[in-house]
Parts: sequence; structure tokens; C-alpha cells
Amino acid sequence: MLRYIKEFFKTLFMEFKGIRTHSVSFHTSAVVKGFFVGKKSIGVHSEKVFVRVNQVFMSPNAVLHDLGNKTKVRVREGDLIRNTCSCRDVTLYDLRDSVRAFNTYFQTVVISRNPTFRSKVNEGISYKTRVYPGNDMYHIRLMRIKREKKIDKNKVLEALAEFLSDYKENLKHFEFVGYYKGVPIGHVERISISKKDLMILLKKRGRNLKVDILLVKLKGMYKMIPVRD
Amino acid sequence: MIGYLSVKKIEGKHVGGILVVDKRGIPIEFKYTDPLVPTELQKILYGSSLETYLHADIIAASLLNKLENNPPIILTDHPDLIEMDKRVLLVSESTERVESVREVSEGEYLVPFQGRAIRIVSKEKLSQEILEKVKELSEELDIMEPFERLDRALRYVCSGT
Repeated sequence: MLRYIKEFFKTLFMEFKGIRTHSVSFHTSAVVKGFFVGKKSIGVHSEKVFVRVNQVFMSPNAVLHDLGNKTKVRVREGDLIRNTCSCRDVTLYDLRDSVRAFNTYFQTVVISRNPTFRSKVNEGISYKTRVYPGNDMYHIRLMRIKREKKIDKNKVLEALAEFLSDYKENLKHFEFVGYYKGVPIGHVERISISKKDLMILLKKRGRNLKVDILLVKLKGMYKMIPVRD
Repeated sequence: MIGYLSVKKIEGKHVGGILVVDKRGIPIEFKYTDPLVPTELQKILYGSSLETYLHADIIAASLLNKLENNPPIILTDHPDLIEMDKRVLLVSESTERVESVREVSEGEYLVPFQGRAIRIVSKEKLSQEILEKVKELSEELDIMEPFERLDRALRYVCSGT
């Protein structure tokens, strides 16, 4: 008896609790399988609308019609889906999601058909150069004075004779190197010999003094002998 | 006072310098440019005229424009530069021997130098006064030597960029 009473109340409770209803939601998305662009028309075919009812996917065919002879297309929902599509016994009237998805895809195609190119114009050929002062640069103060090939024998011999008259050392260690004209000795900061040419590092300031010289080597040391005119 | 103008292409870089020295060869002024490296596009657009344009119209013109001293003679070792200024004379060593200044053709002269001669080319006929100055300078100093200094300096400028 008690068992029957329990069954009764259980059933009654279930009845009064209300019918367990399942909310049905529709999610749709459109997939364009292909399209073609004519001279003045855009045709769309082989579309499918996937409809999800709760977690179940269905794919009823949806027929999307041509857009007509338009040179410029502005895609609207109504242009694409004019018909309703049926899914078993349920008629779906609202396919906004579907249309939105389709529109996005389709519009992208239209834009790519009418590209607008923008180009930045670059100045590619002009030249400019800057000029710098380089008065202190070492390279322009290093002057080469070449050994004279032709020498005035009288002048040279006279200068040598005068020098040797005061020279008391053995002439075995005496070596003539060369004769150089116009040596600016008033500006010499440093002097060196390179391949028998004089390399003179010029001072920025100096005396206005220029002489011809004889260069001799004495016991391995260079000696300059001025030559008078 | 004498000027030396040189523009060179060193390791793909175009660079120029101008050196002014006194009659002893002492430097008075030196100016040099940024080394320029043409882009591939510039090489295509200018074609064979690129070097002449760069060397004369851009580099030499900038140097002459910035020169503070005013030497009556500016020697160059670059043939394209004589069009830039009537003071600019192309100079080169010659194997010919001359005793005095000789006019070879219009605007071209041989000037005695160290037992031989230097060849001077100008865009126009030179006055006797200028020719005398060149002759005087060639007797007083090694007239070609400052080009060596310019060359060393320009190589140094390029090596640092």
C-alpha cells in the first residue's frame, strides 16, 4: 500500500513540477561553395546553410538566387536569401546569422574585384652632398719632395766642399743621398725619407723659409746641407 | 696661391676634395665631401651619365661653392671638371720637352716642368697672365705633388665611412 502511495505522489510531483521543456536554439551559417562573375551579373550557386538545432547539425539546401544585372553590388540580406528553408518539420524564418556570414564572405570577393591602388611617390634620384673643412687633416700636411734628377753640379760641389772642410771624420761613412729643391724648412714638423724622397710633415704655422738642400748620410744618420744660390 | 680639385670613385664611393696651397706647397684650405654611394635605382635612371653628373654637378660644384679662398688657378686631374669654372684647368704630365710655354691647340698648352712638360687644358683660351702664373708655379714647386696629398686624404675619408 505504502509503495503505491509513494508511486502516486512521485507521479503527481512530476506532473506538477511542470513539463521539462527543451529550449531549441537555431544557429545557422552559410557556406558559399562557388560563384561566378559575369559582365553585369553575379551568380551564386551551391550554397548550403548549416543549421544547428541544439547540438545537432542539419544541412538543408538553401537556394540563393542571382543578384541580377547590377554593375555595383551592395549585398543585403534580402538579396541573397529570399526563400525560407525548411528543416524537417520546423520552418526557419530567421536566418540572420546565416546571411551575415555569407555577406562577409561575398563582400570580400567584391572588394577584391575593384582594388584601389595607392602609391607613395618617393624621391629617388636627387643627390645632396655635404662639404666639410679638413684643414687639420694629417694627410694634406704630409708633403713629398722628390729627389732632383738634374743637379747643378757647381752649386752642389761648392756646398759639399764647404761641409767637408769642417768634417773631420772618415769619409768611409759618408754617403750622398740626394739633392732637393725648395724645401720649406720653416714649416717642417717632422721629416722622413721614403724611397730617397723627402716626406715632410708640415706645421700649420712656420717661417717663410725655403731652401734647396743636399741630403747625406753620415754613420747611418741623415744630415741636411743647405745649398746657397 | 693655387687650388687642387679632385673627384674620385674609391671602392664604389664618390668623393671629392679641394686643396689650396701657397707657392711653397703649404696647405691653406682643404675641403672634402661626404662619400656618395648611388642606389641601384639611381644607377638605372642616370645610366652612363651618372659619374659625370655626380662628379661635376654635385661634388665639384659643392666644393667650389664652399671654397673660402679665391685662387686664380685651380688644377684638376679630372677632365669633366674643366666645364665647372674658367679657373679650373686640367693638368697632366707630358713626356714632351719644351723650353717655354707652347699652345698646342685652342685651350691646350704645354708648360715646362722638371725638364719635361705639363699639359694644361682649359675650356677657353687662357690669358698670358694665367699662363705666366702656371709657369712660375711649376718652377717654384712640384706642381703635381699636392694631388698625391688629396688622393691620400680622400682615401682616408672613404675608409672611415
